[in-house]
Formats: sequence, structure tokens, C-alpha cells
Amino acid sequence: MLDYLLPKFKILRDKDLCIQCGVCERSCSNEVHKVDEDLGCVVADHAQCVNCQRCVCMCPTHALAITKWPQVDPGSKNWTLGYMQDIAKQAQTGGVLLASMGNPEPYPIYWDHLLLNASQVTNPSIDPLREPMETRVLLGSRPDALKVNERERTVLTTMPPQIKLDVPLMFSAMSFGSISLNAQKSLAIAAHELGIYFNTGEGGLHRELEPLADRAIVQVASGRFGVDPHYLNAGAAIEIKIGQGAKPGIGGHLPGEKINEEVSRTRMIPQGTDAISPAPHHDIYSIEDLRQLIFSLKEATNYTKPVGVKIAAVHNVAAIASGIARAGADIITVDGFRGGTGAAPKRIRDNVGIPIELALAAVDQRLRDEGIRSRVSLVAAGSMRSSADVVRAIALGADACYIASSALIALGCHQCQSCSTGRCNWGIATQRADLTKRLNPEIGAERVVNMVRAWTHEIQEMMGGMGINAVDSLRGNRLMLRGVGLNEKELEILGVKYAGE
Amino acid sequence: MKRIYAIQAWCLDCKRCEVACKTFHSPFENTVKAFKLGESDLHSRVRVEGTKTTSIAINCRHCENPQCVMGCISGAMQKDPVTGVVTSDPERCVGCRTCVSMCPFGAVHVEEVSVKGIAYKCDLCGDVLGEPGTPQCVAACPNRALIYVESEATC
Amino acid sequence: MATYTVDYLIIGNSAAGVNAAQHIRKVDAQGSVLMLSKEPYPAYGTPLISYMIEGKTTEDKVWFKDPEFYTRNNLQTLFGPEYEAVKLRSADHEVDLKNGETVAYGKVLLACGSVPFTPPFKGYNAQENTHNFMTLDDAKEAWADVEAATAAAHAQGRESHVVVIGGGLIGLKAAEALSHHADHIDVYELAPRILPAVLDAQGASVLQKMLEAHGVMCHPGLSADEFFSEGNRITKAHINDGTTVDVDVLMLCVGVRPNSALAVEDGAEQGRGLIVGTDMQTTLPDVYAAGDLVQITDSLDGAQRPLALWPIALEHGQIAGYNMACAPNAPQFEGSFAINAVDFYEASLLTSGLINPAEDSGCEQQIFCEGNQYVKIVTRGDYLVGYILLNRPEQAGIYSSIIRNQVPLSSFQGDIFQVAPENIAFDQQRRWERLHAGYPSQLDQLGWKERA
Repeated sequence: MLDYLLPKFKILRDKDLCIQCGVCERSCSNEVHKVDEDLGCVVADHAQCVNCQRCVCMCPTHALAITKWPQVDPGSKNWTLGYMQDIAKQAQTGGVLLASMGNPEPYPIYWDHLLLNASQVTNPSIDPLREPMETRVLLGSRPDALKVNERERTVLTTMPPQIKLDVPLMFSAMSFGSISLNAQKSLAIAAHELGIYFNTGEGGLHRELEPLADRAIVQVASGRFGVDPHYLNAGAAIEIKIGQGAKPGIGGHLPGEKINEEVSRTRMIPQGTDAISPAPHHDIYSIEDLRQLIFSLKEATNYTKPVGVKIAAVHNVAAIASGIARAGADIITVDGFRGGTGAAPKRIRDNVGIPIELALAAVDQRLRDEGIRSRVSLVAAGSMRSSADVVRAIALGADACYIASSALIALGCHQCQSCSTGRCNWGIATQRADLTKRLNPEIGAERVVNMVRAWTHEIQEMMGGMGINAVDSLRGNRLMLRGVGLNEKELEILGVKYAGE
Repeated sequence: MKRIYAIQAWCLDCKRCEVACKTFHSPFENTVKAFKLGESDLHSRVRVEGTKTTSIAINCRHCENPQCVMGCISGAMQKDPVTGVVTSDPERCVGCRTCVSMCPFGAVHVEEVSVKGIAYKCDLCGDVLGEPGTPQCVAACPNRALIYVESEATC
Repeated sequence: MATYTVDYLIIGNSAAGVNAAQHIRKVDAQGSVLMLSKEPYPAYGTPLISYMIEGKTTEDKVWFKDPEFYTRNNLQTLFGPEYEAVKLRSADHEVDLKNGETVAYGKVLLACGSVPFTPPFKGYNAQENTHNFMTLDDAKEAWADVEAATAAAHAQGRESHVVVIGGGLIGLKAAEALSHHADHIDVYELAPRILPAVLDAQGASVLQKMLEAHGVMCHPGLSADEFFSEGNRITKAHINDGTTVDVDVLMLCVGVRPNSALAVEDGAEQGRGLIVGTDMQTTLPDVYAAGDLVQITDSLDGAQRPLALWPIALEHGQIAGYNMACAPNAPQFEGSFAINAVDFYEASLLTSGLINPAEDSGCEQQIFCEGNQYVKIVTRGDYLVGYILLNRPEQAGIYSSIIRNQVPLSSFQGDIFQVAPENIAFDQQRRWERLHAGYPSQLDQLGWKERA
């Protein structure tokens, strides 16, 4: 049957500006552009365009813009063009639709309904340029009580292992395989310069990153790729990945053709074999099983590294988090449904999980209610778009935030959501040598460092405005937040008052 | 002197350097004008060799002992004794191609212009011959595959 | 009693002489330097004379150095026919000039190039319309004569004829230049092909066709055997195939010989040119020689001959200058090989090294011929030793550097002869080393600062 899968985008080429230099043609891994000698102009295969905007940025005369394909939908708010195209694709292939990055659907973004406070008259605001402003935080378990020998001025309590962040931010887990080594290097170098941490993801630690591993959080996921005692001890902390916000309940599948020599060596699996991360850990069917794994890892690292657990934000997340805290985790990471991924089934990405804002507030409240909040650090993940989102997350109870999509955007990502094709034109979500070299980690690291420094300044400004001079004083300080456009239930879960109250 | 060095690891074969070079050396400041109005006058002094997988942008090395200057019969090819910049003077060049046969890097190209050929080569984007300027290829490179740094070789 | 007494005397004011003076000055700022030339001009680019006639350059642009060069470098000059050096007396450290003056020197450099060589032709003696094509004055005279002769011929209602004897580089450049000002140009070359020294038979025939398209008719294998004069002008030439041709202007470009008589008459050893040591000193003490009159050892085939090439003259001059001034660690001349570049109309001819190797030389050759392109590559074992690139000039210098640096051909992947190799054709290590001379040591090969 004749079926036309519509292009999603259309290249607008300003003929007055196009000099036919061919930079666009050489820049596009999707082979959209072509300098046509016969026609004497540059032509485009619109259907291949994913709107990554590489050509738009590279064009020396800025002759290019990308617009939506002009085909209108049938007029139904129910049967939109998007759903019909999905059905057409599935009618052709019978396959599960694949997607990338975070949930793009128009669910409420609670960050945008939470407003920050500032001091006026009754307590003074603080100028971060003139007065010290503490952004450092420590992640890890805290003892129930601190015993101090006052005479000798020493701490008697054995302190659990902790990691120190100069800024309450970390780069979330992105494996070598899902992103390029150059992208990982960029983040690792940036983490070093910023005094924060990057996360290896589940793909192991590439040997070229070992010199930077003191700023790595090494991940242990259901596939256990690249995990051995050396790996566990190489990083600053360990993270057990139970779930991921973009695809809760789903495992991962890196097809064999992407397992090249380097990925194979790093993941410790044969070249060319599929790398399958099962949906569950096959040795974890209960909180007790998780506790076993946590303590196995602590044993393996001689109790010198904090061990964290990362879960996707789902229903009952507060109870699950409580269980994880009681299982001995030092850090709990909750990943909201807008968190990114290199590849996920579209239906899962778009329909499963809950917003991080609600999950974070619920978890923080539950742990406090149970009196175990100080046993663990709480890390929020799942699309922090700006420093203001970070401030809100901390005020809702997070010790720190994981950022990934925003860091990738600093590295060049344009959120085209085509990571799974492996043809990332920005050299991030690809292993193709001609593409990965497009990301020079020296430049990448500089840009990420710039972004985080900028955010840090902004966090300091916002905290100063509230009259707060340390992130520790902001944490869980929900009085600094007010809701707008939220109903009673939402306000209740978020634990914030309505604006004007 | 400062020299331009090519870093093969980062060269993307995009050839933005060539576009920038042609524009700078055209009578126009604007790229569109340079290409649309003066197409016959466009000569790139930097050339990207290779393909997407392996490429490298080549321009004059401004050698300590430039063979092209040794070979030049017209005095067009000169190495500035102070700045070290090697330049070709289009007024004096007669297009004999001795420089082409001498340059170990293929960094000089003779292109026919009106009555004679003229040798074109990198002049480091100076406003006057022999004075280095701000190399436009380096500025246009999106990936630091061309860097302009103080060289440890003498002028 | 000498008229002039100088530390350094340089006879000749072209590439070798000027470069020697310049390099003497780099080492010795005080010593007196005198330059002699029988041509009344500052140094000029000798090969430019044909381009000047063609209009590709003008007389004000042929000067090799800027106008202040001699004064800035504190060089005394005696330029003009009266200052021709006529006798060298090396035992006395003196040189006699044509005007009767004498120069006493500490060291002398002979850089007076080569002179045209004209074999005896029946009925020939130098006349008003016979010209060589070696100097600026030669060129100006020939140019004026051809223009006048053409005008005169046209006034008589006939076409003008320029006959060039000698189809080497000089003869053909003269023919090309004068073709813009005459109706007919005929070039006679006794050898069986044009450019016998820098081309082979097949290449010569390709080039000959291109020249003839521009009206330069070449007659290899033929020469004049008798000339006929009327008054002060030669009017007819008898060719050795039995024909007779009209002559309005006769260019004599048969060949050159080293202008080494000064030294030879004083007892210097000469082979096919003056014999010098690696410091450019002749067999006479304190007498140095540089440029076209010196016999050098071809680094490719070991042959001993002069290599009359501009860059080699410059190199000679530099080495001679340093050695005359006793520079510490003065460079020595270790032999060289030929790189020739010449263009005719739209044709470009670049040749280097061994291009017509002997059968038993162990060389192999590959030929690529297509249309006007003719390429011949000569290899010996794993090395490139010569090339002819007719109308394929791209990247020729890379071939030259492969010859000069003896880059093993096996280090290249794939063919580098069908199409010219680029820098990227070199293996990774050579590529980096070639392109990164003086690369900052604090940067790694990714352009990053090395992390401590």
C-alpha cells in the first residue's frame, strides 16, 4: 500500500545567501544536503532531516533555517498527525517505536509553577559578591549523632564515607556506548575543574578516563558491564542503577554493531555481541536483595566509598526510597520522567513515570517523617534546565542535582531526539569516528565549565536574595517556594504554600 | 613567530577555513558578496586534504628557510626578515611555478589571472605583505583543528 | 698600487653574488665588500627578461633587491662595462679591471655565471640583428629589434621572421617572449627534441604541439648551416635540410659555458665547471666561486656538472659568503639536484632529478600521458629520483621533498603517482613531523596543554 511517511522538518535555504560552499553537505551525517552541480544549487532531502541544527550553525552565511513540515493534521485534537504517523510506521514495520532524550509531551512542568522568595526589609538579603556564599555540599550518609572530644577538639564518631561537591551539581550517568568517549572526556575534565563528579553510566570506565576517575561515580547496573574490583575502587563513589526516569521498568539494549573494539574492552564483553541490560537486576527481587548488593559493594571497596542507588520516579516512590535508605544506601537518586536517554521505546518514554518535582518532595517528606532523612543524601535528576530549577530542587529537599541534558546542550546537543540512530552530528551520541571527532573535549569541557560556573553565580545570587548564605540552609527550605496555578493536592504533595500566602 | 598548526585529530573536513580564507582575501568583507560578485577572484590559501574520516587543513608553514623564496625568480616570494611571514607579491609574480616545484607542502598554488598566473599562499591575513594579522581560517574553525600559537622554531 | 683595497671582492651581481654579500654581512659587519659587474644595473632576476617582454612584469619590477639594499648593507659597487674584471692574479690577491684599475682583495668570489656559447656558423658574425638572450640588455635589444623589424616588414607588406637557434630553455623562452611581437618564430634545435636537457622525447612532442598552437614552430633535429647577410643584417639562413628561411632577427641560444676564464687562466682547476670544495673555495687559495660556473656533484646520480639554477646559485652564494667570512660552523655544500620550473603560454613544465636515466642505472620509470598532460616518474629501488610534470603542476614540491628527503616509497599507502600525493599521503609520524616544525612543546598532538 502506498504510504508516505512525512518528513518532520523542512530546510529553508535562503538562495540569496547560499554560496554553495558545501559546508552543510559535509556537515550532515543524515545526508540531507547536496550541492547539485547540474542544478547549480544546493538541494535538500527533507525527509532525512532530524533538526539537529548542525548545518544551521555551520553555514558560513547563515543561509539555513529549519521549519516544521507544513502538512497540517486532519483537524482532530485526538487523531493528531503524530499519532497517525506512528501508526503508519508501525503498520509498515510491526516494530516498537524507538525514541531518545526525555519525555517531550506537554505534561505539567512543576518547576514553572514554583516561585522563589526574596528578602525585603525584615531580613536582609546577602550580596554574594561581597560576602561568603557556601555552595559546597557533602553527599553520603550522616551519623545519627556526632561525638566530639571537646578538650582535644577531635571528632570521635566514625564518619561514613562522603564525597564533597564544590557546587551541588553532578553530571548524570551516561555510558560509553550511549555517548562518545569525547563527550565523556569533556564531562570528566569539566568535573575535575569544577570540583564535582561525573558518572560513568553502566558502560564501564574507559582506560583513557582512569586518570580522571577520582571524579567519577562508577555505576553498577543490571548488565554489570565493565564491573570488577578495580572499577569499583577506581571511582569516588558507586551507584547502583535500578531505574532511569526516561524508561522506568525497562532494560537497555545496545546492538552488537555498536560494540566496537573500544566499547567491547570497556564493557568487558565480546566485540559484536549485543549488550543487554535486563529490566531488573536478576539478583534483586526485594529490598533485602538490594541490601545485599549494597553491602557487597561496600565490602568490595572496604567501606571507603559511599554507595548510592538510583531509581526512576514512579508511583510509591517515597516508600521505595524509604526502603532503599533502610537497605543501607548512602545516596538515593530519584530520576524524573523528563530525564533523557540514548534510546527508549517511545511509548515508555512518553507515558511512564512521574515528575521529579512531586517525587522529590514526597521522598524528602517521607524520609523526614520517618526520621531517616539524614541517613542518606538525596539527589534529584530528570531535567534541570537552569540554575533556578536547581534552587527549587534543593528547596524541595535535594542535597544535589544531577544534570545531563543541560550539560549535553552545552556540548552542542540540540535535542533532536535522534540519539538512537547513532548519527549524532554533534559527536555526542555516536561512536562513528568521523562524528565523534566533532567534539573536541578541550572545547567541550570549557563550555560545560562555563555553564556550571554561570549557574553557580546565579544560585549564589538567588540564595543571597533569600538571605541564605549556604546551600545547606536552603535544603528542604520549602518556605522559600510558593506555588502558582496549582491545586490543593499538588500544593500538599509539594509541601509549599500558594503565592500570596 | 606565531605559526598556524593543523591538528588532524579535530579536522572535520567542513572547509569553513577555506570559505573564510577566500572571503578575507576577496575585495569584499561579506562572504555572500565575495562569493556572488567576485567568484573568479576566489583563491583559498588553505586547503583541506583528505576525507571525512581523516582530513587536515594545510597552509604555508612559513619555513625558517623557505624553499619557495629560494626558488623565486621574480622576487615576489619574500620572507619578512623581522616578522618571518612569507608572502607572495601578486604585482611581481610572473607565474613561473618554481615555488610550486619547491614547496615541500604543496602550499603554494599558481592560478591563472588575466594575463599571467599568480602564486597564492597564506599570508597570515596581514593588512600589508609581511605583517601577520588575525588568521581567518583559525577563527572560522569550529573545532580548534587549526591553532595559531607561538612557534618554537625561529623566524 | 691597487686602486681599491677591500676585504671581500665579489665579481658578479646576480643571485650568487648578492646572496654571498648578504651572508658575509651577517657574519662580518665591518669588513669592506666590493661588488663588480659589467652590467650597469643593480641585481635583477635574470629569468625575468622573457616575462618582461611578454608584459607579465615590467622593468621596474625586475630588481632582485630593494633600491637601498647595497647602501643598507654597506656594499661598495662598481657596475658598468668598464668595471669588467679582466685578470685575476690570485698570488698577488689582485684583480685587474678593464679600465686599467686594480682591486686588491682579501678574498674574492667569482659569481659571474655563464656566457653564451656560439659555435662557428658559416657566414655568421655578430651583426645588428643577432642577439643572445642572457642579460637585461640582450632582452631589451632583441625586443626593440624585433618590434622594429616587424614594423619594417609590415611597411614592406610582408610578415616578419624570427629565427631562434637552440631549442633549450633559453631559446624557447626567447621564442615565447618574442612571439608576441613577431609574425613567425622558428626554433631550430640540433638535438632530436626540444628541451633536450629537461625533457624526454614523448614529453617534448607534447610540448612542441602546444608551442606550435601559439605559432612557435619547432624544428628539432635541424640547425642552420650557413647565414647570408645584407649590409649589417643577416637576412637568410640555410637550414641543414636544404631549405632556406628568411631572417629578420636571429636569436642565438645554442648553449652556455661557465664564465670561468678569470680563474682558469690563473691556474684554477676546471672540469665542466670550476672545481670547488664544500666551502666553495676553488683550487686557488682565497678564490671562491658560486653559481652557474661551478661544477657540482649531482646528489642523485653522482654526475659532475654545473647546475645553472637560481636556487642553487643562492645556496652557493650563502655558503660561500659564510665561509669567506669564516663563520663558525659555516654550512658546507653537499651537492644538490636539479629542480626546473618553466612555463610557456598555458603550459607548465616542472622537472626534477633524473629524467632520462641510463638503461643500466637501475631506475624504473612510469609514464602517465593524457591529452596535454605528460607525467614521467623515475624511481630507483624504494626511492623517487626524478619527475617530469608537464601540465600537471599540482603538489610538485611534495615530489621534490620526497626526492630530497629520500622518503621510502613503501611508506606511502596506495599510489602517489597517478595523482599527486598530498601531505596526508605520508605516514602518520612523517606527516606530523613535516607539518609541525617548531610546534610548541607544551602542547600535545591534540593541541591541548599537557596536563601536569
